[in-house]
Amino acid sequence: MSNDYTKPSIVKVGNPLYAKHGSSAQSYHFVRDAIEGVKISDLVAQYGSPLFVFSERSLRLKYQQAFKAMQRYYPNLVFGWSYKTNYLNGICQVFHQEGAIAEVVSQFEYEKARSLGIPGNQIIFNGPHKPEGILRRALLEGAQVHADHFYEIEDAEKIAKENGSPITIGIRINLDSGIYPLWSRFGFNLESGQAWAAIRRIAESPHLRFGGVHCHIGTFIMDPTAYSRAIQKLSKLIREAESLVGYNIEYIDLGGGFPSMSQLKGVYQPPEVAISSVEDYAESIGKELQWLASRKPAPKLCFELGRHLVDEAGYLITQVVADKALPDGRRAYVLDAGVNLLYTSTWYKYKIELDRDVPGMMEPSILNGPLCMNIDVVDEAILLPRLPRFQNLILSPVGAYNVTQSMQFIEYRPNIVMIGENKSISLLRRKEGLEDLNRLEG
Amino acid sequence: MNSLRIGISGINATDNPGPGVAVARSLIESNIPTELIGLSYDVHDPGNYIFNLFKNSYLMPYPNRGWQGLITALKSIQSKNGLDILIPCLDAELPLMIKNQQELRNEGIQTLLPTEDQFELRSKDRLAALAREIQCGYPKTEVVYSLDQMIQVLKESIPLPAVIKGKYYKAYVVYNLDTAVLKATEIAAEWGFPLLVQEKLTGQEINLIGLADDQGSVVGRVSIKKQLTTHLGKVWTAVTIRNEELDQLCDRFCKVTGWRGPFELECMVTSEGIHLIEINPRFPAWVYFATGVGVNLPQMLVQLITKGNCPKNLDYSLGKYLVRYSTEFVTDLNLFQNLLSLRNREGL
Amino acid sequence: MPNLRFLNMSANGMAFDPETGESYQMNGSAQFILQSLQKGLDSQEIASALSLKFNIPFEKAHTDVLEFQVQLEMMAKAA
Repeated sequence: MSNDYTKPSIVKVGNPLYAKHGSSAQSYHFVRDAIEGVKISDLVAQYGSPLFVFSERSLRLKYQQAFKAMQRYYPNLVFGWSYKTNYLNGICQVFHQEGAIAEVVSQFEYEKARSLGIPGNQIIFNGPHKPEGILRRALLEGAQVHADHFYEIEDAEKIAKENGSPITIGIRINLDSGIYPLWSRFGFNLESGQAWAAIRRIAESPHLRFGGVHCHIGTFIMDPTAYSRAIQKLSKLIREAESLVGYNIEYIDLGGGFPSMSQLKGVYQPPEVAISSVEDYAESIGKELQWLASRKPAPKLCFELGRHLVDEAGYLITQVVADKALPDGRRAYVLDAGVNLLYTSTWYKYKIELDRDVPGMMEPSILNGPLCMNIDVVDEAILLPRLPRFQNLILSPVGAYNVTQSMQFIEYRPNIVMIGENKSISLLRRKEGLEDLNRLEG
Repeated sequence: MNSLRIGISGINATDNPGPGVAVARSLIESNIPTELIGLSYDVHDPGNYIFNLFKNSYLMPYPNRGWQGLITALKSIQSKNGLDILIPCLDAELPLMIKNQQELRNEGIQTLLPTEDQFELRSKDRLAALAREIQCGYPKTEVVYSLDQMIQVLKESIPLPAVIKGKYYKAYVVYNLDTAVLKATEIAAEWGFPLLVQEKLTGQEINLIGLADDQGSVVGRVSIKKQLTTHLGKVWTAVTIRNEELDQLCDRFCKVTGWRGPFELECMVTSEGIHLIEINPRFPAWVYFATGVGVNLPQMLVQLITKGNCPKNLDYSLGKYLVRYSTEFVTDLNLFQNLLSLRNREGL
Repeated sequence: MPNLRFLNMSANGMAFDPETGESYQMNGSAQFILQSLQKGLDSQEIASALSLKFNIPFEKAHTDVLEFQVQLEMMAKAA
């Protein structure tokens, strides 16, 4: 077949679907032929498509950058790797090697961290659902537990009483830091006095000791000063709590919420403009925490970064399965990966790259997934040259939440690999097969 | 002396005009030998077709696709045409240009733009602090990320009537919640969130266009009062004025921020003095008014870029009158076709 | 579908329909098919010509010609 043949393509000038992109002449498609030096075509040949690919170098770099930025302001610093963001063993292990402890939000995640060899006292246990069995195990193994509601304080008290020695527990706090929406469903509300009541409840129990406060203000927080405002409020509460209990807190945990370089739908500017650097977040936070940083010893400062550390390390390679012209003038592609693997496509517009330069004019296009479901749309408006069947596309960043939230629905879940710092490829999780799914049905 | 090849964006001289065509006219009227290149984001931009201003005109990818797209386009233009100087005139592209001015310089494309830090100082969330430092008023302003949040702000902290503004473009005075939601939806659909909710001040709006050298020293400025405007506040007739307090504010602004390059100060004079409503980090669309009264700021900008300095020009006549009008001309469809198929008017 | 009798094709891949004022942009193979349609060739004939011109299998060319003709019809109906 001649190389200069591309399938016929015609676009009516002034198609209203161009409005968001300008005309076809204005766009340039992006080309990426390798990830960390490994050819896309080689990856697909060896592991098939779709394929999640992680970069170990990126994981470590992001971790080190964030830790270093925060360390400038605070001496006693701990990062807890947010398991729910991506709990593939291979990913968790990289962060644990870098020095992260585990941050878990369920029995499953707690058990996963323990099975990876993380001792209980290196685990932060959050979340609104901690059944008594796992709560008991966590408390007795010395985990840093943050009560989300009054029942959990009662449960902890009961466990301590049975055990015959006092148990340390902290509380999750929600507050108005000026960002929207307010995550008031988690933990105890500060402004209403709920948080104070929880602290009193702990302080007045002979079986409990107040460990500290946890506050995760939200996700993809684009304004670093929201953290300053949160810390101002927390600082006041901490001072009052310390004078109530008569001793210094052990820790303050600020959760996560730092954004990644991802394009949130509805934000005009690209992430390189819209997203502040981790150093800006560190500065906003560090300045407000000077009063604790100067204590000897300073209480532990915990972070539970997830998305910020892992998102940019993750890519999804997917192939064109088919295409057709839609009556509205768009070119519709079917890819072999869709919302079954890309849960976050609801909120984020991924960067889409081709693994080679494809010639030809750009057409307004829509990328659909393989599911036999009308909602399976990966990108509803993108300009692309006419792509041939089996063309590889690389979507990024997809490292956060997409693996943990990918569904076994209609399709099997694909292989996941990591490219090591020495460019070696390791299989983090193999592709699912029928036997995997049938096993649970007995 | 060889002609300087200067790229100018914002050549959408429509009823909501960008400054590009006015910058080009100013340069054509200057004594500097130039070859102007239009940088357009829409094949329909009138500037694309104005032969006597632009030697050629190129289509650019939208800035929301990121720097990779812009620099690819600029390099392609440079290889086809040559490009010595860039005068970006659109708010949406400025953050990227400012962030990457070193890379532009490495490619042989000169600019005079504020640094990232200077640019950040005039961002909406820091403007209140800057206003305090340069001793002027600043209307209460809040950044909102959703319609719900906007309604909350209008109910609690900034009562109606208020001004709803896009982060880059458009501002509407609204007197009730329904209109606020309508206008916010309109702006967000085009430019996304966040939006700004600003206290509506009562007074006289006056504006100042200025240019600062790389030491933060003002080399030229002209103040005006807009008379007739479009529904978006775009000037149709205006008059030159001089306001001592505004001139001093302008000097303090440049000194405190160390500003470099063009800027516009949008101010409101109330019974309590001057309030700074907005700082635009570029020439405004009415830049030709200054040229017309003898202060050719685009020419001075090019001098600052090429020589590092230019003579100060703070003198102009008061009571000069600006009249904007619309006109039309006839050209050929093949230019439109060239832009669409080859990304430039001349079909290179 | 634009009125093929009048559709004005230029070297830069653009076509102008003087009856409606619409402009179209197309790639090389689309231009080839449109020109063949203007000459009055049927889809089989065009597919043969396309297959020869671009050195692609006839079966592929035939699909592409049929699909493209449908796209022209769709475009006429779309806004």
